[in-house]
Amino acid sequence: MTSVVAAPGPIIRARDLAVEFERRGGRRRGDPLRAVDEVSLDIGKGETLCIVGESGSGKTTLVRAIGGLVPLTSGSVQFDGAEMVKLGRAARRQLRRRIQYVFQDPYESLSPRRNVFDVVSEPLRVHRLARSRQDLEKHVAEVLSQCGFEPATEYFDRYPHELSGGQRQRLLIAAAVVIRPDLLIADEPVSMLDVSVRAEILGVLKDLQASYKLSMIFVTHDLAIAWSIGDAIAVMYQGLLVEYGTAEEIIRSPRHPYTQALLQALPDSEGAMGLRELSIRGDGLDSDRVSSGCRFEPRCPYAQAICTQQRPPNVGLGTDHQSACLRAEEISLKGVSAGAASEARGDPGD
Amino acid sequence: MTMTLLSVDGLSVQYRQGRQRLQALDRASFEVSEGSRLGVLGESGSGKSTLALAIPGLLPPNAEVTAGTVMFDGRSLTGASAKELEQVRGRDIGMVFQAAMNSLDPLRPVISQVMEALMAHPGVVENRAAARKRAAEFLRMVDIRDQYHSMYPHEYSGGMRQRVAIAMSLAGGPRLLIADEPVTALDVITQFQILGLLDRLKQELGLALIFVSHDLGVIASICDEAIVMYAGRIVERGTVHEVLHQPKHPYTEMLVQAMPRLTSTRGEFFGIPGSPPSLSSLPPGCPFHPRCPAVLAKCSAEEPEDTVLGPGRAARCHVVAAGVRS
Repeated sequence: MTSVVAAPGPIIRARDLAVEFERRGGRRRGDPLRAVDEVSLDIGKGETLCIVGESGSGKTTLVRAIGGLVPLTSGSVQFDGAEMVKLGRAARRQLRRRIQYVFQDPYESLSPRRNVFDVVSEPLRVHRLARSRQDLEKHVAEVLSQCGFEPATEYFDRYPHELSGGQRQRLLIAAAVVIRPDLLIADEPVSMLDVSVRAEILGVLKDLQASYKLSMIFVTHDLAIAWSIGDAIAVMYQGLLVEYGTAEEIIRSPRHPYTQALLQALPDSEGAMGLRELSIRGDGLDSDRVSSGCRFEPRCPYAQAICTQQRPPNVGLGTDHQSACLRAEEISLKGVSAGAASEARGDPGD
Repeated sequence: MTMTLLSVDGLSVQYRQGRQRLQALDRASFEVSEGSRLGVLGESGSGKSTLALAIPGLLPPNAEVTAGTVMFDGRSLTGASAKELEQVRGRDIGMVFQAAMNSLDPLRPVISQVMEALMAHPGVVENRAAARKRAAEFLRMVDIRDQYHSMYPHEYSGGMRQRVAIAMSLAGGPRLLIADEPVTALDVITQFQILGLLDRLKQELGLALIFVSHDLGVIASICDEAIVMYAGRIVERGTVHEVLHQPKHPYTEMLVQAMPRLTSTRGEFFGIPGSPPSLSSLPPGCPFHPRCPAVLAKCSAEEPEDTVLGPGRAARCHVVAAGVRS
């Protein structure tokens, strides 16, 4: 397989990226829905960026726009230095090889009539990356064993119905990485799987990333998963990035009140619901209104007059810890510290 | 002394699937005291939903209780007629399911649906005016502000609809609420708010709760006691603290470790090799033995029995029985 010599600089450079959808009906027909609103961010080569947010925050739309699956309304995305919208046919085809996806549902993504070998070899055949049948089999076996299928050749003739949910997702990962993409976009890849098999998938992704020098965008609603796999975390709220930083910074010392609320809401083994308090207001229904200020203001317990008047700064550019909160410097927020649980968990022998 | 409200003893359920009979629940035994909260933890296919449906007699037509009893407040539910069970449901035992929020009628205002739930139970409200007043109280109890009462379900968020479903399940004044994955499809903040609500309802109404979930963190947040299910068996039971911090069954121990935590070391993933078995092809002996790190010779030959470790504390494991594990 030919490897493309990587240019210096980030693998993805998104600038002022916006995606709007048309509303088909209802009270606000004609008024476009802005799913992603002026997001700028860089993803470094070999880096894993986790995009975290609740349903409807725009995280899936953002990564689909970055990967070219959803047209941009405005803004630009550069992939390894090349402007994506300006690419010709051949370059687009090449690009499709370099960006691959893994989606949430491993049950719906596989045809029941195609066996493991068919699924993993197809991308190689489509992109004409194997010289011979022997070569094809060698590549397929290699990637399958990297994805935890041992011995790989024994799985060649298996059909999806013979595989567990976790195995199906590993198969789809194998099919995504067999053509050596530079960027893997994984959208909630473990959300539908049982807790006991999630670790296996995350471990495979982590190993592949190291051995193939993959860059990865990992979309999740679960901060604990983002913590375990992400180098950097971007938090989205209503189409905007509200906080960006290393996993360590986001979890241990968040600087946006929304991130703090997400951390507080995460159920963990500390238990005792009644003892905890969540610093967020309302039910999110009022936030549909268009505000000239911060979108989180209606739900923010730290909000002051400035928050309704001034538009918060954009975050995501650069590598330092950034918050879109106008009052980030004045307020003091709490993260989850490394020792918190061991304290609550008590001694193993108690 | 707390009174036992629900007592399940040796309950077994089979599903008919073609010519096969699948053992979805195998000799489940536990008790729920008045006002206490029991978490039922399990992965897909563990039998947790079957258990939740079997208690109030809501099993699908291809399922059958093959052994065991369910006693509620001194009455047998397993021996009750369909008509008697219908009276028990809603009035004595309320139920909320994961999809409950999608079961509201899109064409009618929310408050009239709560009124209907109230009027469905004889003797709860005398007339429509009383029902409307009571429905508004119920909606306030689940933190739905007055201005939303006359709106339609589509104007509500998912979390609000789930709160309405909880309010409706309480309309008949039940003493036990069975909630099957009631927060699973919801975002963390909404989930937190619903859990807080259930916690508060327990304090205010003295409601007992059976909370079914795949999420250990959620169960730890809200329950006092927990049972852990695997392949249709209750493999461990105890207080939430015991199950979480002093697990006895190797499956429980590994499941607790597999839970992703913000306090764990980054980049370390702990799972359980293999995947949960299918009920149609259970391994011989202990159904967990192919994935178990502590396996003994008899584990693949003989199915373990419950080993009672104390009041309300048991594990179904040969290793525990042999006392090999402390």
